[in-house]
Amino acid sequence: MGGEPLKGHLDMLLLTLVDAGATHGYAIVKQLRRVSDGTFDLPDGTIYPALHRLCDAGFLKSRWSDDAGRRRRLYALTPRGRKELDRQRRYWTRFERGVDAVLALVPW
Amino acid sequence: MSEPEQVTRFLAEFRRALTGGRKHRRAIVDEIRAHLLDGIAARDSGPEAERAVLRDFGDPLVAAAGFNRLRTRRSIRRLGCAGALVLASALGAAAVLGLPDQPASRLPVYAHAPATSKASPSFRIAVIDPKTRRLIRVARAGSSVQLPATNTS
Repeated sequence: MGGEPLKGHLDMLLLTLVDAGATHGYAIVKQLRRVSDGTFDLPDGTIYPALHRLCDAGFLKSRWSDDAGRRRRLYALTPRGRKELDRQRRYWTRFERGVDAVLALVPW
Repeated sequence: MSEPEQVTRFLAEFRRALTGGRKHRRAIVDEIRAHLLDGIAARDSGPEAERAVLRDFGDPLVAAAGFNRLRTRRSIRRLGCAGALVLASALGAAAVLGLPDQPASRLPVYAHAPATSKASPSFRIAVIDPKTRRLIRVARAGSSVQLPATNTS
């Protein structure tokens, strides 16, 4: 699944991955691919601007770490980001329930 | 781990496509470098691993364009705030002092900043009654305040 169907949901997925303990870009990208079983096949390069956008919005904060001579930017959820994640999850649950209810009208 | 040549070339192309100051670009390039080297290490290194990691990353120009769009958005937001500050100061001064060809009592005070502005969240605008010269209210950036003519005449 490419970028188009993910539009509007990528933020929720990224916030969740950071909340689940993926702290740097590579780990976030790897987890997204692994957990979704390759469903979300985005170029890695598109994830980073999205992470920076979430920082700009105040949903994520970042700091630099120096791990074995390699500078890494580490991300963490802010209280505002947690609120936003809760909001998006509620919205998603409602949306999913609604779609399921409509699809259930016709057995397949 | 030393940086493989294809990664160096890739990052150079990526850096060239980025806009903004040196520090800004360096921070982004460092982050992407760590990503690429992590990916190569996870794939047991070698030219094949390097190619795979660069392929997964995608077009460096597309990634750079994503960062550049963000930077433009930040600049616009900052300009919006600065513009609102200048406008508010000018209108505030005009409201207090009055303009030569317009009585102070008839000056409307209007201040506006983008509602989504985050560059200066604590920014407030003092709205002063031009007649009494007393503070009427303090408005938050992103709100609009207009004194009706009846209030000021």
